[in-house]
Amino acid sequence: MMSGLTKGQRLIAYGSLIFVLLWTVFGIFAIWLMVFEG
Amino acid sequence: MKLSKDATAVLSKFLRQYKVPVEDVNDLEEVVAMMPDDRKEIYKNVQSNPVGDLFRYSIHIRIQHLLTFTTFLLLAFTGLPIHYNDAFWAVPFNSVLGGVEVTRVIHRTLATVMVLSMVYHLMTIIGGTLQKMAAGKFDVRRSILPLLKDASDFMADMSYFAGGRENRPEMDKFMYKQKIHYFAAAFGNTVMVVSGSSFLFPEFWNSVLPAAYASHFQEMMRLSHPHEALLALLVIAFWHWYNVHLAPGRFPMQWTFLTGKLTREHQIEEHFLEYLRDLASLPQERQYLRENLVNKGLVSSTRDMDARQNIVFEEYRRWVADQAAREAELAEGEGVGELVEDSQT
Repeated sequence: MMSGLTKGQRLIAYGSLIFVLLWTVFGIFAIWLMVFEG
Repeated sequence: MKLSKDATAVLSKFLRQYKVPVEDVNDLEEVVAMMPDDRKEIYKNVQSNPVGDLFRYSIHIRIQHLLTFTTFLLLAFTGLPIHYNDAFWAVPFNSVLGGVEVTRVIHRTLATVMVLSMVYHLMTIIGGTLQKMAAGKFDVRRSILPLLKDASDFMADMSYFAGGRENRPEMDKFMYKQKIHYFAAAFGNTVMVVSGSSFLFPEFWNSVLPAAYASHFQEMMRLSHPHEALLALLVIAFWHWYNVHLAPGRFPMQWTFLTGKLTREHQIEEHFLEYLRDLASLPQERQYLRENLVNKGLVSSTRDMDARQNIVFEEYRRWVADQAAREAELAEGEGVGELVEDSQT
């Protein structure tokens, strides 16, 4: 059972989550490049 | 709770290594006996601070993680436009930085920081281990080194996820998944450093390798550097970030890399053997758990019987008494020696 995060902590946690998800898009782009390199 | 063989061995060693006071051990014995055998009942009913309750990583490890992940992300970000430097999207990216030559300098500078971070990490783990060994407080079960138990933990955990077991296995500070991840990262980093250095110092590698292999080595390194980088990116994005951001109980983010602490719920579920050490060393944790078990009506119905079966505590008390008796004997012997010396002078 978790108690809640403060507003600042939520900002850090969700900010970090969005950052890694955007990075995953970059990762998919890198895979696409490598796969179609020939 | 009746302690398992693993839990008994872990506690037996910890109590002796840290010479836990007998009053604390008596308290621990009571709290352990109160715990229900179904560990799910414990971790699903504890209160956890999402930023962490129990200490796990030192400031050194946190700094190394910070250095590694920032350099890793920036290395991947600059490495891709270097590898595909004539691609339509890479040309403007490199131009913004001042041309592909500048991107290369940035990439190499970041790589140097990453190598320094690896050296810092090696110094920390080797120095820390030696320090613990010298103090008689080292336990290989608590280390990142793979053990046979990890293989059985893996099988047991898979069985739990497939519905074949009531509880997850009792794992130590580092579970099988973390050990695989750690050594995969160590291997990947080594491949990246060796292959990267073969681009930067080809003469050095040509001078140390036999002539027949030197050119093949360069070709292999040229292939492995981008592919290992991609593998690392995949592992980080689809494995590590799942485990620390998206997995149930971790969402939206696990705070350990910032605070160095793990939530109580997580510690009991995945690192139960380390949680037993926490209970042995932290009176406030024992008090919390005791009150929580009583308040939630979770106290084991077989409490008294379990207490009698958990012989580790009685063995420890006997060990402490033996140690005290031996020390008294030694002190007495020294006293007699001093008396003899005094009478001779």
